[in-house]
Amino acid sequence: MAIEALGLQETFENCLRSLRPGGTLSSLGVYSGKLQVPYDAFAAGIGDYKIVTTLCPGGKERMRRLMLMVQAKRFDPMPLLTHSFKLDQIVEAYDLFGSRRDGVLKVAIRP
Amino acid sequence: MQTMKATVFHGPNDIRLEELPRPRAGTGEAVIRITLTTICGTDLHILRGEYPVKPGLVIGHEPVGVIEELGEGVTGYKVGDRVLVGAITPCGQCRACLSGQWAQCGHGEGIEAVGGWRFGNTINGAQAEYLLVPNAQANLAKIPDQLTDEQVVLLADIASTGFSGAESANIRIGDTGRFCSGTDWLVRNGGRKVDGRFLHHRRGKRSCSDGNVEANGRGRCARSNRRRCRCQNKEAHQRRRRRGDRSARTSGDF
Repeated sequence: MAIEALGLQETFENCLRSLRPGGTLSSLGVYSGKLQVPYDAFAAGIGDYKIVTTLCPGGKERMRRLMLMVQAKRFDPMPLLTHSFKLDQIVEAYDLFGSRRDGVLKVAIRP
Repeated sequence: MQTMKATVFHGPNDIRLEELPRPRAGTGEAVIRITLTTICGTDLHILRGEYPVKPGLVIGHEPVGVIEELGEGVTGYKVGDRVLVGAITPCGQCRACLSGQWAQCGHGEGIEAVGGWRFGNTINGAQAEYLLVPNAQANLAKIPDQLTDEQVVLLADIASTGFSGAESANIRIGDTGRFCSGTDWLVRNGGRKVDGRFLHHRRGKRSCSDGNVEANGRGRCARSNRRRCRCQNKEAHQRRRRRGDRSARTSGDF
């Protein structure tokens, strides 16, 4: 099993090359341009590979379940919020997030 | 007319904070006052002109807020309720939604790729003071009192997407996993950057900090049999390199 979470040729191909025969490549990335599947990475089509893609399940039931997981301390998303900005500073926040400076992962934006 | 501040896309590398009319809730809709939101890697694609949206659109799709106005037909909620709304807003009625494909909503018609993604894509989004929520009955998720806005804001998109990657892969106990990305989301103590090295999948108990991991079902690195190890084994690295199996040291958005 390999999870691709960026949407680049490199990450897709690395995932494909990590698979055992019969393995699954699960891709979350959003791609642009051309995505190629080299025949050797693809075992020429005889590797029984599965490639699945996912966008982002939405709706209140999905959100309820995710919130339950946080409440039950199964995982904690808080460490990912590394920076905080007012909505008034949104252009500045985009600049920081886009440049990946200062160890930024996700920015909190508060109106 | 009441107005609000909102982040408006005008063209590649041109976003501005502007005053816009505040939305009003129609039938089946709700308006929430945003209390917390964030910026997604996808928003950067929009900003850079790599993903096309219409100029004039309010961007952002990760809303946490308080119900300000409820349209006709929305029941079980009251003004003032704290709510989380997913990045993708399924209608709950179409063939995709009722087939359990919660991201491919066709809005009452059929199935449409990316059809479920509306905030900051086809309708005004969350980087604003107020947000119109379509199909509110299917999309307003009340936040338990015990949870803060900060604890839930990342569930709208990246947590739902991240877990979905593991769910879609149909991971089972004892499977070996690799995660290729700019950041490590699924392992415990999320937030640590791993540059796409090998990792345990989310059902593993620990990640190996070097990533040279075969899940052995007890949350230990198969190579060192430690819960946390660095696996600084040159030979192993060389072996991997010979296999052409370089780590995906990528730089990208997350």
